[in-house]
Amino acid sequence: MKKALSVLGLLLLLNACKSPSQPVPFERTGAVTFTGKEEMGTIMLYAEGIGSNLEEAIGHAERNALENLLFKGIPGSNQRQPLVPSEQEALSKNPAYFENLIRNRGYQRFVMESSIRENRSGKESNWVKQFIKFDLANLRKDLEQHNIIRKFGI
Amino acid sequence: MRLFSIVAAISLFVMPAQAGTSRDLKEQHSSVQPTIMVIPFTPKGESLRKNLESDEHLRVAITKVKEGFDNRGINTIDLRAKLKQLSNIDALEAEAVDDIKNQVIELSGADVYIEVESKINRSNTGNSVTIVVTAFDAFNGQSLANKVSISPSFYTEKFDKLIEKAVDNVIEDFLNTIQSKFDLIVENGRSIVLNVSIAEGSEIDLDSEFDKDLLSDLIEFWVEENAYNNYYHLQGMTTSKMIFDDIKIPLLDPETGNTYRVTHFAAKFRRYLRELDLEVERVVQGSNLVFILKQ
Repeated sequence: MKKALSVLGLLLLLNACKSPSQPVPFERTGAVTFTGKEEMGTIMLYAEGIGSNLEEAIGHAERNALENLLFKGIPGSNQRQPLVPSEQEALSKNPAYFENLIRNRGYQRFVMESSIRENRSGKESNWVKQFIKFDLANLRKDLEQHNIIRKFGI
Repeated sequence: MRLFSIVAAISLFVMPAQAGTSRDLKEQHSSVQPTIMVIPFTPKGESLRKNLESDEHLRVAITKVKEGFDNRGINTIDLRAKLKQLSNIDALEAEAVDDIKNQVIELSGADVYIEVESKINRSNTGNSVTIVVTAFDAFNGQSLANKVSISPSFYTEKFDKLIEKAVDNVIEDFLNTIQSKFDLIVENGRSIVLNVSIAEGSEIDLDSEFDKDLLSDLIEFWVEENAYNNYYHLQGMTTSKMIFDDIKIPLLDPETGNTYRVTHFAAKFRRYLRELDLEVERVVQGSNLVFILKQ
């Protein structure tokens, strides 16, 4: 009995010493697809993300969707062309704006809906496929108001 | 107003005293919104007005396209209001139906006009609607964007809904394409056409030598030097005629920052020809320049 308690105590100690999962750095991927549904002024996407926990994975999926929408465009959708024509130029000229929009999750103002479609948990990381609906009209307006992109016109 | 005339407003946004490079100037100016009118596609020989009034599906399609522009904060000119302004429209219809489109565009002052066509498709597997939208630069008639959209098929007679779906599928992409054309114009300049010909009975032709160079070569060198980013395209040449079907000119004068008009380019070219002791007759029509030379 005494021996069993010792083993149990050792296991508990080892578990307590185990370091928490390391955050998974964000990496933009092409795993963003158009849902096929059109609604004027919005865009609905599926995006994948990986994180050390579910919350981080969702955040990465949302950021992945946003960055693809901003800088790459979404094939098969009305927004095939990126919202921001030149990523490098825009990022270097407006670092504060993008810091706030992307890293500080300012984009949440333009997320109308974000829900999990699929998710899988592993030992070290979580994977999620997220449905995200963006308020495209107001996102574009915000970019225009901050002179990131030109307004419609010549 | 035409696209060329709206660039006059651009000069308000630049600082004339601090003329910089053309790139600086481009970065300084804000967008100027062109005036846009949405009209029904009207086949040759048919009346635009009758087409609009008789086809309710077309009216729905036009309204939906206008809505797409409105959602993007872009105002459009109301076609029916403009048609009403043409008080003698009935008389005109009797005489020259084809001309009404041009008259409406002229009267509206639209810089860009959008033609919308809708077609109902009926089949055993359901009904659908095809929408064709095309944007034209009213100044020179060049196409800016065109898209075709087909709605999904449903067993329904509610064509309004199908039209809505078809337009929703395409309108953002359509607007983005127009904007990318505008961006190209800002970046690469506007296109003009230059026709140079020799007047009948003249003692010279384009192969005449001027200080060891052929006149045609001198003209081409000048065009190359004065075209925006040196871009031009010579469509064809004979001894009596040269046609440059695409010469780029800037939106803004690189030296002053003011609007650069076709007439500026024409005046510069005329001065050059006068230096060669040539008599020049000049016609400027929209984006087309015609020069008739004689000596």
